Amino acid sequence: MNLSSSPHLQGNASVGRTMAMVLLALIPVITVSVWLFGSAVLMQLTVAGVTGLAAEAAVMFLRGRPVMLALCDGSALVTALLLALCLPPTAPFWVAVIAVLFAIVVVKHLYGGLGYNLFNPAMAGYLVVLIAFPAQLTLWPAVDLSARSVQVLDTSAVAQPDATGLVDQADAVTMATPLDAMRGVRLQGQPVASALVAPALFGLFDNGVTAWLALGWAAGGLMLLAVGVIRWRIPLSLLIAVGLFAAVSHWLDPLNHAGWLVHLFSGGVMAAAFFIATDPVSAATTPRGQLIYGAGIGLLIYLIRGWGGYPDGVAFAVLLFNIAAPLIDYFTVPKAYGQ
Amino acid sequence: MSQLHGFRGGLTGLVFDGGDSTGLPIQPPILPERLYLPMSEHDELLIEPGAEIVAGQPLVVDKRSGAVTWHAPAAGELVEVADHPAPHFSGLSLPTLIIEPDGSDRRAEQSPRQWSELTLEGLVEIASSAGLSGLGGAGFPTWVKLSGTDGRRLTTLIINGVECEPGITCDDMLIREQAAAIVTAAAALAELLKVEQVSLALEDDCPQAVEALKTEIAEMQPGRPGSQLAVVTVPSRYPSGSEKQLIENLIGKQVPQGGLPIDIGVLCLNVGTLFALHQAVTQGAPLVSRVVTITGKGVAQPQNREVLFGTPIDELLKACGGATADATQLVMGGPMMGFALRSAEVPIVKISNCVLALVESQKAVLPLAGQQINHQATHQPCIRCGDCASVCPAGLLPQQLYWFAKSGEHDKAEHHHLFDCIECGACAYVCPSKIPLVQYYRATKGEIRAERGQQVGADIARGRMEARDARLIRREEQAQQRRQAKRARRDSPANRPGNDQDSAQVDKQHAHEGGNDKQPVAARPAPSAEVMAAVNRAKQLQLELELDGDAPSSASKRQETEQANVASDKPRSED
Repeated sequence: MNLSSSPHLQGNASVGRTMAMVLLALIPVITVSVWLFGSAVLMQLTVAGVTGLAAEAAVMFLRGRPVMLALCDGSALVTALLLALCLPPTAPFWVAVIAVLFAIVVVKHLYGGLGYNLFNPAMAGYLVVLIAFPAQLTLWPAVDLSARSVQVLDTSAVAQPDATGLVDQADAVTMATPLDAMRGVRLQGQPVASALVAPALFGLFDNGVTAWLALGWAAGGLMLLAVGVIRWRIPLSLLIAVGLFAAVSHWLDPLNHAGWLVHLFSGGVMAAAFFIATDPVSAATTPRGQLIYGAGIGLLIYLIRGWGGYPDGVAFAVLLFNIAAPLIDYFTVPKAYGQ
Repeated sequence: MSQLHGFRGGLTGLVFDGGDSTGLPIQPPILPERLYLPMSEHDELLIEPGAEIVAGQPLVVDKRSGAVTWHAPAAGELVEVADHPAPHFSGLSLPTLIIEPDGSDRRAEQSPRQWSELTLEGLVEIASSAGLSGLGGAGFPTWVKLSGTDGRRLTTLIINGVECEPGITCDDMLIREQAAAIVTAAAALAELLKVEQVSLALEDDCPQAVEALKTEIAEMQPGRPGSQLAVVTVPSRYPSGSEKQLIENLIGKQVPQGGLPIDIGVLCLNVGTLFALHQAVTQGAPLVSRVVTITGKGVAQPQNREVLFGTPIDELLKACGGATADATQLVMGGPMMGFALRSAEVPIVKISNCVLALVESQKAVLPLAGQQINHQATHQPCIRCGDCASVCPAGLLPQQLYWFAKSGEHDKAEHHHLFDCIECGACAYVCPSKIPLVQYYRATKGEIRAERGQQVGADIARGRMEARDARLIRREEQAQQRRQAKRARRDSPANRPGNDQDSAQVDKQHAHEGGNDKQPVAARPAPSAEVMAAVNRAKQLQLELELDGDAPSSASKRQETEQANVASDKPRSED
């Protein structure tokens, strides 16, 4: 006789379904990315995806675990594609391979595999290549959107090779992101405002192409919220924290601090809010803890951008709060019924 | 009262695909060849094995309270008391009364009463002597519930007809067929308890029962101005029928942790219990049967049937057209909280609201206890998605409890309120990794209880040890005092030197025989407050453990079982 324990009914949720939702939610940002940067993006995604699946299969085989089960849950593919979307499309293929291998083999499986990793694999993999290959990681292809009849964007002002100090003068096809530009002028002691073009249409599009990417991430994120794969606490608290600190700083000192829209729609904030910080394995899990976790990441992102050594602080902020998540959870245990 | 307050968590859209058990009226009881009534450790047999018995005769009482545990469901002979598989998730066997009915209708004398002539005290006495306990599933003694209202502020009486577990229809059918008796009883009970607010709560998916009650109330209400009977329908959302969740939903207050509904002025009775109480009052009939839902794809004719307590499940299934050839699992209780049975000889008891015969489990199959469990075949790792926390009606964090259960971190599990888990199974139902969460929690609760049991023993032993140490020190001091007194006497000029040696010898001997010294008891200093506190603590804990018991099992057996569960049932994993 079958002696399984109650409940004797089981819903139809599965890890594979959840991951498939996340993959579907990546479609907007992939579409935007391909529209902006062309087929190089697809190459990058393919290289990362294949590397991710191969690494997952190899490690599961070596660990004596069911290989097909792991490949079908889709978690390796999600990690690999998220990572690929964080890399510049023009980065050499081996950068993606190294980043994905580190993410899957070291960060995920050496810590115990799916569900056991302390750190967000995609962000840890990204940080490894960011620190190891800064030149390849900070150069994004220049996009002349005006040539595509998109008049709302003006990227000319942000591509200031001199100002950034990072961009090779001779490399005409690349440009600095707004965050790079801001950091560049900050390091040179010039007002940050000089790195930003005057608002063309909405203040939003000061950011150039990265704003479009941010919108792609946000669209996917809202899809995930709608289907219940992620919950509102982490994205909202993260976005509010970044926006609030940016707005206050800008209000106090407009010359040296960009506005809140610039910060929200540049760099990895949207990706972090909806896809990275919401990774349930490495995030805080209590309701109050998630508010603290999201707000903390938001604050750290803003601090690193404003005063840190890197133009964007998303990956560092997420990893630092990954470490803090268990502690946050411990001190925010919700009240039980009747307590 | 018409406004609902909702409750935390919960599941909507639960479906049990097991056939319609409401097609037939409630079927009459069958008389099996033998009836099996399991005894708990506190039970005392009133008659000797081999004695002739008549239906309704009290057979077993609870030694502590004198409340009757079992009445004879039928006339016949009490053959023997022997071990028999008991209705318990562990599958343990208990000393069981085995009765051979003779088919006669000899019956113990019954003394019918009127509701109007009863006092609360009288009602408690009836509930106690009629063997009433909660028929909803938890089996809480009804006389305790009723006597708990004495001298307390009681604002709301809730008659619970909400069957939130899909597939169970025994309360629904009982209301349809006995609406008049239920309404009468609810009104009379409300009058007796002087409670203003009476809610007859049902789920919105049983319109016929709702209609039956409303019709009866419309007819009866004018004559009873004192009572405000209201039929309240709650939306189908599991576990809306759980007492705590129903109370939260209806009155917007939570039963305090570790408390009872009466602490917030509520008395909640299952509709079946109320009907049984009505029978006990108006006919003097003891509780010897209940309505049971028999359903699932594994049974030929799903139905509700009145079943005599002690009827073994295999005979019950036969009466329902028999189990199908592909039935693989028998469950006592509903599909969400019921426990799988190891044997079809397990009898129906007071808590048995439902018997499921399942053809295929919709979930991963866990192998028998004692076999190595391959977790990879059963579930995927937890990805901490938190879906479980969002459906938990107790407001817990199942994903955290799972970690602590798995790693044996009992203090953290308790810090995360493991013992507030009502084992409703909502978490396991939504889990995308299909982790048998309830089983983890149950096993860990068992581990902690077993640990506490050992702690009780250790505390008692330590208390005795400390008392012994204190006694030895005391004795040594007294001996020393005596020696000093003697020395003082000896040193005084009145003493002759010649007696020195003798007296020292006597003194030594005296000290040696310390245990026998005839010191008056009253003169002994009382054991230190700490010792007494330790012993009291231990006794208290022991008492709690005994009261904790959910099924008729002896503490020692339960502990054994739990340890066995701990050793074998806990899903293992290598991670």
